[in-house]
Amino acid sequence: MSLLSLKNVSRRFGSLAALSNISLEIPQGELRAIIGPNGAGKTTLFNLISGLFPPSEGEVLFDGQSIKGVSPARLVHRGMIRTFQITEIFLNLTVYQNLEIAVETAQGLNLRPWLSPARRRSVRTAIDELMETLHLTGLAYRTAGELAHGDQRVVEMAIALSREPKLLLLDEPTAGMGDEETDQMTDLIRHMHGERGITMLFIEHDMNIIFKVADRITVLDNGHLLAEGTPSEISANADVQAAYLGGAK
Amino acid sequence: MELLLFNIFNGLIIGMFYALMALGLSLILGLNGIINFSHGAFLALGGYIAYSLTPVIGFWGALIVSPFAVGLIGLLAERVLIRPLYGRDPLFSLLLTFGLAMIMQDLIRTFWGATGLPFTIPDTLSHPLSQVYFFVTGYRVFLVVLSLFATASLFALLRFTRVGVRIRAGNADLETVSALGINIYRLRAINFAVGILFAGLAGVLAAGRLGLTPTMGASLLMPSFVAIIVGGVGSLLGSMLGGIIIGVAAGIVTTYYPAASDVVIYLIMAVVLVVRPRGLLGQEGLLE
Amino acid sequence: MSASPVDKTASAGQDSAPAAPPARRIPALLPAIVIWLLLLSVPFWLPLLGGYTELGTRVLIFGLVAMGLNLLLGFTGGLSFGHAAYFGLGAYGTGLMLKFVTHSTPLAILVGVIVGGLAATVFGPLTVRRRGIYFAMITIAIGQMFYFVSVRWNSLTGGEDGLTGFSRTDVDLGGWILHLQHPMVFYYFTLFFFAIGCAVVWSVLHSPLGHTFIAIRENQKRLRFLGLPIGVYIWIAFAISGFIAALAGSLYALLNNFASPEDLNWVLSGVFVIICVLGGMRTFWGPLMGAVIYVVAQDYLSSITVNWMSFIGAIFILAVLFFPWGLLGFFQGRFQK
Repeated sequence: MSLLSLKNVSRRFGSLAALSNISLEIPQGELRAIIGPNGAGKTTLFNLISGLFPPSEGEVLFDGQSIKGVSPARLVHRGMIRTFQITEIFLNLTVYQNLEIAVETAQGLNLRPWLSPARRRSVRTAIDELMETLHLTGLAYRTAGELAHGDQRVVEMAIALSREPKLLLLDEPTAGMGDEETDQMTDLIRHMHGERGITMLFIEHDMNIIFKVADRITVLDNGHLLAEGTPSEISANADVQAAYLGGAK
Repeated sequence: MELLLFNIFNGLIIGMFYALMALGLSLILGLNGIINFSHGAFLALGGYIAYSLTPVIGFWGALIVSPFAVGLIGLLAERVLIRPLYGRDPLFSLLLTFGLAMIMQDLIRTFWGATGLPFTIPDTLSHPLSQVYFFVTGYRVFLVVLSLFATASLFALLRFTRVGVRIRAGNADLETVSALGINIYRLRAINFAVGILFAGLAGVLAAGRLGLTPTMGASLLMPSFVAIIVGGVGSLLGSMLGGIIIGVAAGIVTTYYPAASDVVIYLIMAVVLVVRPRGLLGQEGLLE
Repeated sequence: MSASPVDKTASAGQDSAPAAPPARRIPALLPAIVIWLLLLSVPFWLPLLGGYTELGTRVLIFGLVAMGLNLLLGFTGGLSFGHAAYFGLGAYGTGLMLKFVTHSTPLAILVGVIVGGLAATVFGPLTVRRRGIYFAMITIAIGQMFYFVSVRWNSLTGGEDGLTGFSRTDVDLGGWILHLQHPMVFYYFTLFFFAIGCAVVWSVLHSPLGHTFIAIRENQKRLRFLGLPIGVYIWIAFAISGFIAALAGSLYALLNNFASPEDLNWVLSGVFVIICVLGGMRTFWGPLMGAVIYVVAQDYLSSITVNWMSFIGAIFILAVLFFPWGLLGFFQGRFQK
C-alpha cells in the first residue's frame, strides 16, 4: 500500500501554474528522489505535501487518509516530518538542547513543568542514542550556530528523526556541503532508510547521491511530471536528458 | 437628546485628536517599525510651544509654526536616538521612546510648570454658531475642518508626491524599495518627522480645547493605540476611522453612563480583536 | 559582533543541568548561594549602607514581578508591555479583601493572586496570535482597560486617590504569631513568597515546558514543524507570569497598605520591562539585579531632585543604546571571552 499518494494534484498561484496534474505513489519503505531544474516545482510539491497550502485541484493521501484541511502540525503528529532548504534549528542553543527539545516534543512532554527522575533518564537516554546514531556526541555542548554547515544539517536530521517519522521529507539535504560532508550525509540517509526503514522523499541536485541511494526517481519539469523510474531507467530517458541538457543537445 | 448630540459632538472632537495622533503613530509604525511612546510628549510640546509663541506671532502664526518646530525636533530625535535601533528587537525602540517620553514630560514640567495653563483662542472662533446647539462653537467646527484638511493633505502627499509614493511603497515592501536604490534612512527620517508634525498639530488644537498640562499627550496616547488596533494596523485610513469611532462611542456612553466612557474604548478593541483581529481596514496577516 | 553576547547569555542563562558540561555546574551554583545569603541578611546590612528595610522589600517585590515577566519576555520572547495590570489587580484584590471581607492576610493574598492571574489567563489568548511589536501594543491596551476600570469604579476602588483603609494583619501560625507590621518581619514574609516565585520560575525553566518556551523564542518555524501549537505555550507563559505579577502586586499592597491606580498603569509596565533589560533579560537573576538598580536609583534620585523622571528616562535610553543585554549579560559576555 502507498504511504503517500498524490492524485492529479495541481497548484496555481494566480495565473502561474506551479504544479500541473501530478500523480505520485510512494510505497512504504521507498527512498524516492525528486529531481528537476530550478523552478520545476519541487519545493512547491513539498510545501503542498506538508500541508503549508492546499492543492488547487486533486487530492493528497497520507497513510490512507486525505490531508485536506489538516495543519502542518497535525501532519507531524500523523508521522510526516520535513527539513528545509535553509537549515531550521535552534542556532543559539547547544546541540544537546536542540535534541532535548526535539525528544521532549516527540515524547509529548511539552506541557510538563517538571519531570520524574525516571522520565528525565528516559529523555536523556533517547538524546544520547540519537547523538550516537548521528555521531553528534562529541558536539553535544557546542552551540549549534558555531557548527559547520554540514553538522548543522545533521542536527536538523536528528531533530526530524527524534519524532520517528513514517515519512521524512528532505529538502536538498546536501545543499552547500563539501565532499566529505556530502558523503557522510549520504551514508546517513542510507542508514536511516536501511536500518529504520523510514520512507523518504528527497529533493536533490547531486546526481551521484541520487544514483547511490534512491530506489526510484521522479523528474519534475516546469510543474509537470516528466518521468518516473529506477535510476537506470531515468538515466536512459531521452526526455529527461532533453530537460536537463536543454538546447545543448 | 440635546445632551446626546452634545456628547457625540464632543466625542467627535476628541476622536479627531485620537485620529491625528493615530495617523502619525501609524505612519511611524509602518515605515520606521516602531511604536512611538513619545508621541504624546511631542503632542504636549506642540501645545506648549504654541502657547509661548502666541504672544509673539499670534494664534494663527503659532498654529502653523509650532507643528513644524515640533517636527524638526522629531527629526533630530530620529537622527540621534531612533536611527541606531532600526533592525533591532522592537523591544529596544519601545523602551527608548518610553524613556524619551519621560524626559520630555519632565522637561515640559520644568519649563512651563506642573499646573495646567489656559490657552486662549481668537475671539472670532470662540462664539457659538447656533443658539440652540450652544456647544457648536466656531473653534470646534474649525478644529474638525482643519483636522480633516490636514488628513486630506497627508493623503494627497502620499499619493501624488515622489516622497509620498516612496513612503507608501516602503510601507508595503521595504526590501524592494531599498533594492531600488532609494535612501531608506532619509525616507524614514522624513516619515518620522511628518508623523511628529501631526502630533504637534494635534497638540496646538488640543491646547485650545482641553487646556495645557504636561500629561495631556500621555492621556491621548493610549486611545490612539486602540484607534490603530480598531482601525487596522497598516491602514492610515483605518487609524483615522478608528480614532473617530472610539471618540464618538466614548461620547455616546458618556451620556448614559459617564463612568464607563474610558473603558468602552477598550471593550470595543477587545470585541474587534475577537471578531475581526486585523481591524476594520487592516491588511490581512499583519496582526494574525 | 553584536550577536555574540546573545549567544553567550542565552546558553549561560539556561544552564540547565544536562545542557551544560558537568564541569561548569558547581560554579553555576555559586552566584545563587551568594545571592541567597545576601537576601537573607538584608535587614542586617542594608541599614549600614544607609538604606531601610522597606527598600529591600520593594526590591524583592519588583524583582519578583520582573522575574515572572522575564519568563515571558526574556525566555519565551513575548514582548508584554501590560503586566502592571496583573500586578495592580493583585494589589486591588488583596486590598479589597482586607478592607471589606476578611482580616486574614494569607487569604487576601490568595484572592489577589487568583484575581490577577485569572485576568492574565483570560486575556492572554487575545494577544498570543500576534508577534513582536503588535503583541506589545495589544498587551498595553488590554492593561489600560484595567487601569481605567480601577480609576472609574470610584465607589469600590477609591478612584484616582487609590484604595486606602486596609492594613496587613498579623499571621497566626498555630500559636506562633508573625507580626507583619514590623518591617523586618514583613521583609522575611516577602522573601518567603519571592523564594516561591523563584522556585516556580526555576523549575519551569528546567523542565520540558521551559525548554519549549526557549525554543519558541529561538525558532518558531522549527517548532511548528515539530507539530507544536505555539500559541498555547505563549499563553501558558503569559498566564504563569501573570500569576507571579499578581502575587508581587498583592505583596506591594500589603507593603504600602495602599493600592493605587498607578499600580496598573502602563508606565509601571514599562518599568517592569526596563528592570528585566537592566539586569539582563536572558538570565535567571537578571530581573533581580535590575530591580536592585531601578528601585535604589529611583529612591535615591527622587530624594535629591524633582527632576528624577528625567534621570530615569535617561537610564532607559542609555541602557537601550549601550547595555541592551543588561548587567548580567554584559558580565557573562566578559567572563567567557
